[in-house]
Amino acid sequence: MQKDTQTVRNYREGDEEPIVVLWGRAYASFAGYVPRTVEYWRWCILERPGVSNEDIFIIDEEDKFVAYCVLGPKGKVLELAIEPNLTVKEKKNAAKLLIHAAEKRAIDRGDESIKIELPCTDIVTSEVLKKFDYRDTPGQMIHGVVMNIDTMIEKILNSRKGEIAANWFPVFLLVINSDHALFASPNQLLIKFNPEITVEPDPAFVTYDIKVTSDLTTLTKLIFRQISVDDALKKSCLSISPFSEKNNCCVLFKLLAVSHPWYVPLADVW
Amino acid sequence: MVKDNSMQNNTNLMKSKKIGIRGYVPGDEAQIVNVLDICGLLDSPDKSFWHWKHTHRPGFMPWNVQVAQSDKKITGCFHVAILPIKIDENIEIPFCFGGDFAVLPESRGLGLPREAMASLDAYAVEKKVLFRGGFSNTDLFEKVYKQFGDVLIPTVTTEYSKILGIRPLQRKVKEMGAKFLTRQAIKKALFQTPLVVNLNINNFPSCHLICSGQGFSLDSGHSADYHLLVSMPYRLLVDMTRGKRTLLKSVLISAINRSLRIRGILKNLTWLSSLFWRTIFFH
Repeated sequence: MQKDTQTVRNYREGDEEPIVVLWGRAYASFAGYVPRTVEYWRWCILERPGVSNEDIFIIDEEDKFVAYCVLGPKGKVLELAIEPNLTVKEKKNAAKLLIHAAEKRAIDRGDESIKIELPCTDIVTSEVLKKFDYRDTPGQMIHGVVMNIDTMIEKILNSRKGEIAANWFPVFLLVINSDHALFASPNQLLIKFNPEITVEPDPAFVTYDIKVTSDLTTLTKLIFRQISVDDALKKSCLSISPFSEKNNCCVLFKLLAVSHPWYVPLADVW
Repeated sequence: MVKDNSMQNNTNLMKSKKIGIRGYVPGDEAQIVNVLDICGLLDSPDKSFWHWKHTHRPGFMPWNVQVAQSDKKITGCFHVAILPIKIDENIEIPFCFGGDFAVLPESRGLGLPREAMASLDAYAVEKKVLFRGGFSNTDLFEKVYKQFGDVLIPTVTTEYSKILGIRPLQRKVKEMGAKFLTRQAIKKALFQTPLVVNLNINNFPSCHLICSGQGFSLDSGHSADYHLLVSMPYRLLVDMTRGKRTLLKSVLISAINRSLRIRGILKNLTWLSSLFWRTIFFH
């Protein structure tokens, strides 16, 4: 793909499908966003008041989408995605074309400023933005707590089946102390790995190998890697019985921990 | 719903003031938008934006909007959105985003947000939502959300921003003026002769700065009657927010490569010198 064949055009009906596919490819190694579907994108972007076809910029070549961005109301760039398999030079050129088009449109619309939120690990686009004299500051953070902890744990563990050793199947009893939560949560979870991964809330009969006691806030922190097992033990917000099973406990929480960095595009900021 | 003593007290208070929490019904929009407007949370002045954000959203259910009502008046509104979120490779979960919590001043102090949140949480648990939260920064999290047992999840998101017009700068110029004018000598000198500086900033609308004893202001276009004409790269505006050392370095580099130029110094040398000495030596 030659850099000088990249040109910018506006959105046309039917572009939604390749756009959402490009988004999925560009941000495959990230989490923290709403996975794009055509239905979601139509509501989030096309139906959004203050966004017209002239605010959506696309670079494509021979029916293959290379990059796109969407300028929302008040100069907020709602989405920006660039094909990850381009060379660095092609990516830089695509980024320059999109940023220039978005800025020009923002000025024509009378927007007082322009704002883009991107992963800090996107060095290529970041360099282009700095050359365009953009100022960088930390972006959005997310706060929250896990609800339906049994379903959450079962879902995560089932997605990690392939990482679990065939001969590793301790039975965990997870005792959850109620804390500030405004909602009810199970008092105990029985986590089994053999024959299938099951998480049973408040089991009637309890036979286990390892008992882990904690609270929802600490469990959320462990899942989102905001605290380690060792730190939780030191702060007495986690206890393991018998303590000799600490290593198995660490394996469990390593399986539960999310690994992808989180990125929140402005389109999803609610 | 899990209730503690403080919540029970608030519930009793709400009952005595005849305020109840219920789900949205069509027809509530005008009052909801009014509450958001009074509380300064309105994204857009018309109902169509509210409808897009909430009732037109895929998956919207009426319980996603809870209102506090006293007689026939809506005095508070609380919104959530249930959306799928990718939390890790191949893992998507239903996520309950909360936002647009607004309570009219006369109904504050009754614990309405906490009551509404408990109600929303009950629905969310029933609907198998796996994570409840929202968007925040460190300060807001410490003040508001930490008490609910929430956890702050850092992201790798970086915000890149650029000013395109003069309005975002006008307030900063006014504040800068207020600081300078605490020195009486400068204030007196600028009362006698306001300093007018025309600015040519790369890729930025032309504007002029007026420094008078009454205050500093930044206006669009160039003034016909000016003391100095300053041409500068946009980068200097950015570096003004990065501390004195970065700004000084930027000024020096720009002066050396001649991207920063100031015309009119010689013509107004006497007056500028007087202003300079007053700035340094007098208070």
